[in-house]
Amino acid sequence: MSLTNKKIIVIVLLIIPLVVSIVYSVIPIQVSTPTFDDNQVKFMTYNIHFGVGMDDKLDLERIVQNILVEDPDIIGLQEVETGRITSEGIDMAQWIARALGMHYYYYPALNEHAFGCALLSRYPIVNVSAWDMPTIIWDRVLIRGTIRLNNSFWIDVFVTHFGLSKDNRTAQAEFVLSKISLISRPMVLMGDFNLNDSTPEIGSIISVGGFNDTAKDFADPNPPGNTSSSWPAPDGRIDYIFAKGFTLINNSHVVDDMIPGVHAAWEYGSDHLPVVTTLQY
Amino acid sequence: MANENENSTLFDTLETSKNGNIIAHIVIPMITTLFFIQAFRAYVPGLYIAMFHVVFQDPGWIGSFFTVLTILFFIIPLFTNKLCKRFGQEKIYLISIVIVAIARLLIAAHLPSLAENILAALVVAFYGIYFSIFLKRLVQNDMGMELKAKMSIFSVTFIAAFLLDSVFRTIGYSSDISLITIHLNPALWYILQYIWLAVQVPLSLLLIWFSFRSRTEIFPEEKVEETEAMRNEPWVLNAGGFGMFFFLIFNVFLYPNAIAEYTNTEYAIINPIMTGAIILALVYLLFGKEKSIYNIEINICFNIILLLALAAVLFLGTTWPYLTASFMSLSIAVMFLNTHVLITNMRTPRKKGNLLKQFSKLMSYGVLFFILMTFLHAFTTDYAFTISAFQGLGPLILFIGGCIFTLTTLLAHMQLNKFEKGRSD
Repeated sequence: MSLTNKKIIVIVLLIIPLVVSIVYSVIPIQVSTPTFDDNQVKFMTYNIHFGVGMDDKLDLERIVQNILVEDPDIIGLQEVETGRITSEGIDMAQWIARALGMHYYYYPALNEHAFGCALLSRYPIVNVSAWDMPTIIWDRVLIRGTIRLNNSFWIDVFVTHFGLSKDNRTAQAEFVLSKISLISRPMVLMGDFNLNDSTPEIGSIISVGGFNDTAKDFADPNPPGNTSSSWPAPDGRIDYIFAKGFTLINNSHVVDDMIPGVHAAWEYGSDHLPVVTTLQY
Repeated sequence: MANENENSTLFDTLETSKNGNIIAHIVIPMITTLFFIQAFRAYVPGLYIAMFHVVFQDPGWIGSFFTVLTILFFIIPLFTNKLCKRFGQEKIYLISIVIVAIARLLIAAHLPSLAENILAALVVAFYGIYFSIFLKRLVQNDMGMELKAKMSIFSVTFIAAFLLDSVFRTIGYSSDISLITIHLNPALWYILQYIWLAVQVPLSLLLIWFSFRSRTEIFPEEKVEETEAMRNEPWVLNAGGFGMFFFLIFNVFLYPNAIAEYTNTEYAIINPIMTGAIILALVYLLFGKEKSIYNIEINICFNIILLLALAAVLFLGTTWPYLTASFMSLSIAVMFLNTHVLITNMRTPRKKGNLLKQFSKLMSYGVLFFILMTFLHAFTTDYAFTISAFQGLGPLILFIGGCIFTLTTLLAHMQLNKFEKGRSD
């Protein structure tokens, strides 16, 4: 074989990765949009704990598997990262959205993407906005997406993750209320609030914001399930799906058995459990 | 003759030399380096989780404690010389490849986190041993080519492994394809997640088989001259540079999505630019003239690109997003060329000590420098609350890492040139 031919072979071998890179980078996410014929939408909120489960293992596939068990239409994720060495550099929001075939919007916390939130939807997300919330330490965010369920019916979905200190959470609750007060469409506010339902902050979201605590209202008179954050059983309810402008709560529950027959330590992708609510509009 | 060499390219040298072996000198180092990259990337989250995350499975602190103890594995390569003296280089060379191959195979078996972390640390540690012995033999074996060309062969395989890794990540949409299941199904996922284990088994077995088959290429029957000679270099210089390379590349520069987020640009555009930059480094080493590759003025210009990229992240942020992102992506090529200089500098014969010690120090201390800087960086993000003044200083830490990397590379380059000049005089 001549030197020129060998050079051509080497150059072709080197160009293949570039072609793969270009092709894979431009492939759009394949989304099959539901028709909204039954006027029902299934929501899920899930703090994915950076993809780390109860067994200390980073496994995003397990997160997707946890979500697929319920197959929701709209998802709010918290503790989402991208490009950080602590999670193998994965763009979590994009990766999960591709695996599930959903549109997505991700907004990172200012502190180098450590505490970002993401909104995923099978319906088109037509408008997005995001805010850095008042925070003393560990930046937290609030994101909003306007979702088109059909041509005439749009809803606004907010996803958030409150901080750990009381001062943070009080300021953040006021901040969220100030943003939602500007909107008149049907609305869902979901996320990890790091607050139990007897706190004044959650009380003000319900009374001032005019929301229903969907899990509590659906479970009534029984108490709703716990979502976080102790082993071997969840010991608190800090993840909520609040909603207003709907006609009926068809279902609401905490997802606590993702793979029947498999030990919980292996099946839980996070230190939180997902909460699911199906609303009728 | 000297001029002839300076004007030749690595490709020309490989063409004229008939003593190289593709399996032994290119395929095996490339695959072992790929396993090292994958294990190294898997190791850091495990260590980080053990040290920082609040998770509840561990019985007390014991699991986390043992995970943190795996850092000690990284000093294993420092015993390469002693192990080789006791058991023989060939035996240790083969054992290190077998351990890398089997540990990487077991990582795909979805074992408990502590086992996974131990396996990942083993891959990194025994890759260090393989790296040291392979480079020493590369220097000493008569392959009918100049030392610089031999070192370039390793650098090309090293960079090619990163290119392969980049392709796997592209296909996996920013995740390593070998870590994800081919088809997600909620009911069958628990079984389907083991599919890659089935792929990894023949891959690991082939690596072991090829290593045994081609070992005579690395350990020829004729006795090679043991050059335990001449100069005792400050190894900390090269290892410091190597550590900064790991720090920068594994923390940000290997991830186009990270660059896109830092600069508010599109992953779809940055990913091909970054892949192109890795290819550019390979093309430069393969087809660039030796006199250009070892020209310190050119190297200074390249490193200015690297520092400008880091400075742009620090000071410009998202003011000129695509300019900053392009600089960052292109500077990955500079990083690979810098490592080439560092590795090449390590092969200059020493007065005391020997090549095995030099190369093993490069890897061991390089990894330890990386861990040090990575945790310093972690205190600017997740653990910023412990020292609140650190919050948001991540880009500054990256910039400092870049400055150390550039400085060590240029000093290594000066040493290299001085040595070459002394040799030609």
